Amino acid sequence: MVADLETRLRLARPAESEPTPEATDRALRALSRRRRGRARSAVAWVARTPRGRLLGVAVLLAAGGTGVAATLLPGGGGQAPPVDRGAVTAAWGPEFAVAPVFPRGEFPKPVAVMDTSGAVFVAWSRGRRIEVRRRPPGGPWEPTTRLSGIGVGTARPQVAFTDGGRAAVVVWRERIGGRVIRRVLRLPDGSVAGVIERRVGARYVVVARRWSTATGWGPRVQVSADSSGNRRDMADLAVLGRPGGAFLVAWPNRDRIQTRVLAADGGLTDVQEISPARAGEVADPVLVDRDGSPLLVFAHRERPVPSHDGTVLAVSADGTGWGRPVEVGAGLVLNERPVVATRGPRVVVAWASRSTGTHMGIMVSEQAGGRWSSAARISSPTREAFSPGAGLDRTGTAVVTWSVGAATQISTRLPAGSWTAPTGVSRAGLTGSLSPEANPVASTGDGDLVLALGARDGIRVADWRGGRLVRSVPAASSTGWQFGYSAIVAAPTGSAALLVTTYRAGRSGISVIVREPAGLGRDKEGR
Amino acid sequence: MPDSEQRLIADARRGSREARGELFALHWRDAWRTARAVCGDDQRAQDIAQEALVQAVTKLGRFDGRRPFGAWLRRIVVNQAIDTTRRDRRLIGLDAASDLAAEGFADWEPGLASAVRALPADRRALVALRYGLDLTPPEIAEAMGLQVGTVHSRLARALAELRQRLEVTDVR
Repeated sequence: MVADLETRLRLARPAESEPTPEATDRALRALSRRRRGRARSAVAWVARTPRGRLLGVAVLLAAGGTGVAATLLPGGGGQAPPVDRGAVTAAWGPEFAVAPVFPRGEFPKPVAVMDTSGAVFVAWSRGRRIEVRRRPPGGPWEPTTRLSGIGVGTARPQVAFTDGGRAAVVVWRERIGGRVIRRVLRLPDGSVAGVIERRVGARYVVVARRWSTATGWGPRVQVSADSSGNRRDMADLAVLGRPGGAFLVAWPNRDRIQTRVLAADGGLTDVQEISPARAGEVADPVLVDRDGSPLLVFAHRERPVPSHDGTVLAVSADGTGWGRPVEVGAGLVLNERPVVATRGPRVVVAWASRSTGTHMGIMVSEQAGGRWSSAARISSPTREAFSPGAGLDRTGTAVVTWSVGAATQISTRLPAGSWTAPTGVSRAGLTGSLSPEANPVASTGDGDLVLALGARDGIRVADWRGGRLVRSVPAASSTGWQFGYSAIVAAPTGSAALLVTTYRAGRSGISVIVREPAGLGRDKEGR
Repeated sequence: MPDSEQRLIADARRGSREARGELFALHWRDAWRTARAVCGDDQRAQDIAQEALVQAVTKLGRFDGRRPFGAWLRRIVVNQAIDTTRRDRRLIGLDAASDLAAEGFADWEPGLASAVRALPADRRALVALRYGLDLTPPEIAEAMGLQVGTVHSRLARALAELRQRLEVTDVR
């Protein structure tokens, strides 16, 4: 039965909500202040003076067209930061299929990195073999290179740049040995009903291949010793470029994280181990550079698995090795890897967390001055939230985004402020709760951020510059929401690349949409 | 209006900070909810409700003490919210404004949400007050400074416009 319009309007109204305590305090303080001293919310700074409006119109006219009107979210006004006109004019190109067709049943999980010049490396596992593709600044895409052999059962790779983009490495897990056992299931009449296959006795190893502009791809290097055969061992890897052309690789191996440096000359340092104080299993390592030193964030879960009880741990390295892991927060959800953003000495870690009987929420913890803050929930307690993204901009503002069912939401925090209430910035979630992907907040490396946001028919991309969203444009369409997003990367040149997983006629593929500033034009096919 | 509120208003007019604080505590939540219903965005609602309360408290001299303070404040909030919605559309562009407001309408059925968002600001406010906050037409009339008959006729026009919009599918 179709309800009448008035009933539909009443049924459809949003759930009741309350002003946040921060907003209440701010409004109360505003009662006793003169006009210019009153604080307002971060996203609600809009032009309120004739001068500000004129500035907004002037920028609009200078940018040339009504299409740019949508880019001037909060524009003008005394508090408005300058708009980087060069970057605003950089346009997103068309989708380019870097890996058009995957075998049926395979769902690609590509990874990407962008160096400071805007060159992109994309890596993925197809048919259990590792493939990569590179695009230099200005394009076009180089041919696909296959890095691994047959029958080694590779898992999702990781990739990193160093040395100003002159060197890169791809690391992945390979399977060693084992045999497949098959059990045939038969119906009472003797006919075959099905076959169950399972591989037993396999062990795993982490391997890497280096690339450089001078020598191309180097030989396969075994980075780790054999694992014990636990299928979760080395399933998620992390790699970080270090000065001098070296790479730091981290992998989980049962109850500890192991790390090793792959030097520029191809040599390997001794394996270092990080063991949490409590027994359990480690997973999901994330390596970032914090003020010139590596910082490792990982998940720790107490047995028995599966369990949603877990903790996020962080450990930093000095000249002599890794320190003692510190607990950043608790309540980690199994299928979500924490996201980490750094700028100078500051670190923001965000993760999805669920306690029994509650909606999954987004938790954050920050480190500044050597101390971690208490973990805080920043998403609404009444809505399921997942797939966090995190970034720190040049003003020191922390930006965290996440998906809910029908919106991508954002919360921000000034260096000396508190987290703003969740605000919707697009009309669809970017990913589903079961398909978390790479951090959707990409840092350009010089203090600006590029955000991937969900849209019902694809993906929108917004720039975060000078403490505010200045651009929201469609970058990918017809991907189908919750299936499209894979990763976003950016460079200080204004270049950025969005990785999209496509799904057409029962087969998956990988497409990339690249944005480049004027002067680095694409070829006619958008490559 | 209760005697206690009249006393608070009298004290606030004389400059009592405590009285202002108590007036704030009494009406802040309703002001915020009204602003949120009309503009559909939590953060903008905070700014609108804050500005409205500051205006109301600093202009208490113009307040007719025989009428309810809450209704007077609601009128200021609604006017502020309509002005803000209009300004956002002018400066931001409808599409981006809709994105910003998505959170407030995130739970609405998709076609309905976009149809309501596309209404002119004053009609959107009418619909929000009537169906979002369940105000009666006389309460809406007081909040928007209209005759009750005008509220009825404008609501009917807004519903007709919504019905018309809902028959058309957006193509992008």
